[in-house]
Amino acid sequence: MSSRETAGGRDMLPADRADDRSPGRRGVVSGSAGPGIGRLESAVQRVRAALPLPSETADARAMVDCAVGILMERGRLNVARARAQLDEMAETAGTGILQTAADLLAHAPHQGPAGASAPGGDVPAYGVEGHQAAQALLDNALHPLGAHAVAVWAQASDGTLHLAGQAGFPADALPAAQPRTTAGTPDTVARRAVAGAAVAWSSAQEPVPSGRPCHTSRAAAPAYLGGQIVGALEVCWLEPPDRDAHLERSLNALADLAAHTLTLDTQPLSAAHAAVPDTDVTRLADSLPDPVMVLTPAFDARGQLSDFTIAYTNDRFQDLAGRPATCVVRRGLRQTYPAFTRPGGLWEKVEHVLATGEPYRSEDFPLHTQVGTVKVTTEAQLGVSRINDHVLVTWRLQDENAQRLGSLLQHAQRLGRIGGFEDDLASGRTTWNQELYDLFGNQEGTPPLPLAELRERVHEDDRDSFDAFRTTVTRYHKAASVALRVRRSDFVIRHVRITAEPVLHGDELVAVRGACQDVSAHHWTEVALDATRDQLAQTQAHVSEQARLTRQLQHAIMPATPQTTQVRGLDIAVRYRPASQDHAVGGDWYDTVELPGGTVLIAVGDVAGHGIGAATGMVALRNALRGLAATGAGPAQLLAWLNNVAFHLTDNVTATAICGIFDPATRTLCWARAGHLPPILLSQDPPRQLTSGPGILLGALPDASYTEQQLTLNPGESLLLFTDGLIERKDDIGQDDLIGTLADTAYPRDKSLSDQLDHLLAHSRSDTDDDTCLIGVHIPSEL
Amino acid sequence: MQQPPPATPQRLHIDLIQHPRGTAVRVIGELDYDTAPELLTTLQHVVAEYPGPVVLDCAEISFCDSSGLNALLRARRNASEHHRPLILVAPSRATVRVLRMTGADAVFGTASTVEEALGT
Repeated sequence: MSSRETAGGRDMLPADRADDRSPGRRGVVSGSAGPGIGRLESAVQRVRAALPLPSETADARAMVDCAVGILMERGRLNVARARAQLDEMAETAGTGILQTAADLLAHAPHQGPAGASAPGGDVPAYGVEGHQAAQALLDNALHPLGAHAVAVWAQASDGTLHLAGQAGFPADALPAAQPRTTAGTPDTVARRAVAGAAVAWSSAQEPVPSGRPCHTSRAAAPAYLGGQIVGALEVCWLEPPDRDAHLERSLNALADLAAHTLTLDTQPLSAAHAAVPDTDVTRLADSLPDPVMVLTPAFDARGQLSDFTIAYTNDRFQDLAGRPATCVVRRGLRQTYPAFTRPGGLWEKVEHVLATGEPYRSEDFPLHTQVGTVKVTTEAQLGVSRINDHVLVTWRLQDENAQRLGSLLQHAQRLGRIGGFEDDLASGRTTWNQELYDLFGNQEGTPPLPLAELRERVHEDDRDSFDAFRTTVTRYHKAASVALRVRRSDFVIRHVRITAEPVLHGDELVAVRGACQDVSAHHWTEVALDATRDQLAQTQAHVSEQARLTRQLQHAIMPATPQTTQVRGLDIAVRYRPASQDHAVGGDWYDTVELPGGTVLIAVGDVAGHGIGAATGMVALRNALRGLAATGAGPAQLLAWLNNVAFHLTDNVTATAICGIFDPATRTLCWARAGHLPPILLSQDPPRQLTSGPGILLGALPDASYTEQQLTLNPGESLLLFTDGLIERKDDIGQDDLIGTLADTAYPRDKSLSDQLDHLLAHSRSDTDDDTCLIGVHIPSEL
Repeated sequence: MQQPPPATPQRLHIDLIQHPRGTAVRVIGELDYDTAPELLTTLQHVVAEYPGPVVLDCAEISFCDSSGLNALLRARRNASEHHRPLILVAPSRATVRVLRMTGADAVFGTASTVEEALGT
């Protein structure tokens, strides 16, 4: 409902007609003096009985009846019309009839910002009704507590307290308004209650607002509505009452009750308040240079503040515990930052700011959070303010490293290598947990080292950083964090991040506690620890795409199907066996091509590694060799050039290769090798591996030279070239195995070259899942 | 989930060992396509962070393939760009085999003990 409607209602309710209600109204709430008072009376009974809310149906019925009464009065309607209007309002608001009725009632004795905007002569701004409400409160609830006067104050948006109603005070004992004091401590008990968000008591000397002392003991309690303080209830006694917790609880409850009779120029919150801040608030948050968290109060079924929802964070916001923003936004503050609820913690400040609207600011506010089992406290410049129904929390961390502390600790938790320590300076005792013993390689049972003695374990180049870190903690009493190389007791060096915080008692440093995290793993392997699942999935998609491309590339150049060709009368058979795993597609290649002078190039090579890098390296080298061979240069020169290509023109490709040039006219093979296994000759004699001179693999040095060997092949003889996938074994005896297989009587020496290669592949005992390339060159008898 | 990401963990173990005269890298386990990048990163890190010769204790390398050799060669190239030798200490049989076969033994300095290497 809009305030205009309510304001209209008030206008039609002259003070002197308060007891002269329409018959319909009287019939609904018999014996009541007005809607506000009638409701107050029944509510007071509830508070006094200190019982849970009475039966819902009776309560609901009374509420709807009251609301109908208000509408009848306002629009001078009959019961049926008024009820129809209520139904219509409920439908429009979409909140249900009970909620609509409750809203109507909450706003019924509408006072508006009258005191601030339109004083309007000598008629009290809050009308007779407020005084009647106060009288009902005094008669029903406060007399039993021994009080004899009460005043209800409503707070306007400018902070002024307006007298909304009073009973028991002499006429003119109270002013119509208490302006907000701009400096110094609040001077009246009601002001103090509002400012302190707690029950305040007057001292004997304190003047009453009017300046006429008339009561011996006064107390005021803040009046809450929807978590915000909307005014105060001031109560006076002639005899000082017992100031106990029970009395304060009663005063607080009555003050909250009185809050329902007050209506202010700010819409009070309802329990169903939307948790999403409006764009003005989010824009404001976005415009601020510091991290901002927008909190929306959440209420329980009884309208009590139960938690704050972290409704929005700006893009500068970083969780103190290193969690992604999605783990924080739209969660409860209590659940997300349990440590904030410690006494004196952020929770108290936020609650106070919501209640009073007074902004809070601190230059060095301790923010507590917990990562796993590690408690982290960071000092921050903190600002808390209320805007509309939200609370804006903004902070700037004192130590920029602290911003990263939370995420580092998250890493630590994942690594499971976090050591904790505490140096108790009073007793001189140091405590380590098991993980810290492991981290420093110290035997459990040996005395733990205090922070000062860890220095000798720190790498000498890092000792300055260590000293600065210690000074920050022990002299300046600030939490600090540093990454260092430390030497374990077994002389192994680890990269460790040490985080420590001072434990202060007053200004005195009583202990230093902290945590050590072994960060060696991500120093070295750059494992994408903070990769999100998305990135991982993307990487996997990328990997499988790469594997597909690599295989396509490989197949284009190195057909996996058995091949037998004839080049210038030579029988050449090739087998290529890819590695079984997709990602292991490798860089093996072979080439046999007739050169311009009538000679034949025979080459086999193996690029280190596998995957797309190896395959592209293979393509580059194979094509380069083909082009270079057309110059007519010899194998040694070709390999030297190819080495240049590998070293300078590729991205750190190394490869082994054999390059041979066969001249059919003389049956001479001139060959050279670059780090590759020499060929095996199959002749009448037992199979033997050709001997060769030195020849470094391709790509290791900017310049390399190679030596050539000559070999005349007789008709019927064969030469076998292969890559190490055929023989490579982890126990490294594969080469002898191959000769053994060839020499064995089971070897199909008299069958076709293809059969022979298949036999070799079948009997290969390689266990490294490398790809394998095998070439057989046979000199036919008739060549 | 398709391919699990290549798992490196237990097959290769790398330590930095502080000796009285300097720092050495000790490699234990198998050097291959999956594990070699970790060694390369470590050696590049050592070149950047520690003074003196880059000393690699190879006595406990149980297997080394062409990718392992490629990592050693790249590390050597990186070290020599910083005018630092890369010295292989007590290379194991598996290391020697691949170094000999590829002719790469000619480009590495070797020493029989870490102390000897650090003294160079």
